[in-house]
Amino acid sequence: MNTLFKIAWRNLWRNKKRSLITIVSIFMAVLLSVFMRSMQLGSYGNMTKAGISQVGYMQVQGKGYWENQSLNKAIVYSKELKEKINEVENVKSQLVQLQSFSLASAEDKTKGALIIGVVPEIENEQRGLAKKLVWGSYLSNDDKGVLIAQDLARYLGIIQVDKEIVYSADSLEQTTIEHITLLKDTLAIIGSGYQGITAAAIYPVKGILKFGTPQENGSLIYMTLENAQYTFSPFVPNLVTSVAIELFDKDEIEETRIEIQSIVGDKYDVMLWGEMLVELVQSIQSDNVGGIIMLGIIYMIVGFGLLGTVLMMTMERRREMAVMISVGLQRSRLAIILTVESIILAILGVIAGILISYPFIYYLFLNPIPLEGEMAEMMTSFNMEPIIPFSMDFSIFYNQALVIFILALLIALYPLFTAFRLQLIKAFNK
Amino acid sequence: MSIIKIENLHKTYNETQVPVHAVRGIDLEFQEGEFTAIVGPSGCGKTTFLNMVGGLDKPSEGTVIIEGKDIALLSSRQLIDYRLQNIGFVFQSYNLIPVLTAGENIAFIMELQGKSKKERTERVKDLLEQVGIGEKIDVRPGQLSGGQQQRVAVARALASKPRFILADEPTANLDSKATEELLDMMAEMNRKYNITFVFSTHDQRVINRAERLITLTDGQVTEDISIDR
Repeated sequence: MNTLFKIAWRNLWRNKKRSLITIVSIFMAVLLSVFMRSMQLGSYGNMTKAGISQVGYMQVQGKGYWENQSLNKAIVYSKELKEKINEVENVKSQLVQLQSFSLASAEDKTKGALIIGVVPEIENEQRGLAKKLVWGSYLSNDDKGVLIAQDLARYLGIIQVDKEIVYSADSLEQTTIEHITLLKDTLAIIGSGYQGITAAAIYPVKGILKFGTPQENGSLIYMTLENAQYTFSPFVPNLVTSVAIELFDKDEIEETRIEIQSIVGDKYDVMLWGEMLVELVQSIQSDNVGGIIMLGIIYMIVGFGLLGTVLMMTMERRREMAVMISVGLQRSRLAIILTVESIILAILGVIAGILISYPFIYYLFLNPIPLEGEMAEMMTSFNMEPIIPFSMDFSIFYNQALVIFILALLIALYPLFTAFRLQLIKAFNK
Repeated sequence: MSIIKIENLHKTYNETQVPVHAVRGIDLEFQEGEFTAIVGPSGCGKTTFLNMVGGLDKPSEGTVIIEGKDIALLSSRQLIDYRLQNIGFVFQSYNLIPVLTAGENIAFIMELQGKSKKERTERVKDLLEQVGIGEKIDVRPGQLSGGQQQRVAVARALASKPRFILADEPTANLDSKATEELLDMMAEMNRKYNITFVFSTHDQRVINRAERLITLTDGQVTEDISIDR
């Protein structure tokens, strides 16, 4: 067995350049695929983090609220319910909201809006709402004012936005600065409250928020939870539409959901973030498929490179193989030699690729690529950090190694086939 | 005692539309310890005949019986094992494994036979001494002369302690001196170990040493004479 391995190893170095080129091509493929995959998974992590920061890992809602977001499906966030949820070991914190669709009006203009009642301090702590403020000041916990999304405020004529375009002298880089001027200082809300009561109130405009998506920017109004409850449900205290839950250990999300569901009972739904952010999950999934197709293309290129080398190594040694069989080497043992050759090539390429890519990716993991300019602004407005993050998930490295190894085994089928079908006399004559 | 018995051996190649009859009905017997040369012009079927005797090629018709066994009845695996244990091959172009040293080429055969490392080491040294190139044990074939490579090939053929050695034009690529040395060495092995040697050749120097001369013409035996040396 030792000699079989020795033959395989030495055969690889008979044509050093060819073997090295093959190893380098595998190495480059591993490096490239690890880099791509790490960046992709890192970005998904960033997107997921941003999504979770908006809805929490899971939410406790009234039965059927997610499908039909009516205020009538809101729940009473009693002390008892809060304590029950807190009993679950993995629950880190709870964040409540009351949301309702209403008409927002300022003098002669009216538009449908989503009113969100929040606990300002906690909302800012967990979801960084104050960072989105582009004019005015943030809500205090007993504030009577509202924060309005920029496009909605502009539509209602509450603000005027003037844009100033500045070019830098040396690079002619363009920067847009928005100047906001308040034109009206009050907002009226008219809508239907809990169980059909009329909800109507006038609020002072405290600030203007800017969000990443046009939908959010054109429809959101924030006020304190207390204000929202008073407006929409003055007779049923502590009414909320969702209790968002933060976890200590995100890996135990499913177990925690089951535990919370069993504690709160059938009158409530416990929704996971993935069930609520369906579009985010779908966009990650479709992007992931694109990434996998790219990886497939890289693997195909590497596979053909490896196949070319193995083909040549096999073809040019048919006579030698025939001699070995003639003098007493069983075909199965010859097949071992040939398979080992392919595997060694793949293993050397993979090891080199992982040895180089691991510290490289680790560096990028610790020092993500920062984004600047409009890209950074856009990401911030989506609640994402303005960076290109990298993932250090072990599976990224493990999967590349596994795929290349399987590829090498598949490619080894050709020499294997040759070993078992080799016609000695034909091989001698060639 | 007859070690190889060949009955009505035929080989026809059908690679083209016109069948080529390389061997046509050979009946022969080889005795233990014989030193036989098969001669004839190029294309007369010498190599085809040896390939069939060594089990490298299958006859179209007829049987090769070695020590009472019809080798056509052996499976591919059994046949390879049979060659390993009983037959030594010496090829015209040496056919050593280029990535192994002279010593490793010889030891490889014994390793396939399952011999211990100690036994392999001792026998490799002994065989290389016997063929006169003991100092080349760690040299790869590419760095050896043709004569030296053929000596390693003979040592490799002897490594498995075979009952007989089939040598296909072993001296074709050697100069006179190397040929004489090789023949001396083979003759000595023949005497010393009573190994049966069957050569295919048209080298007069080999013919001059043979104790039995079989002439093939157009795939048939036209002459079979014993020579008392």
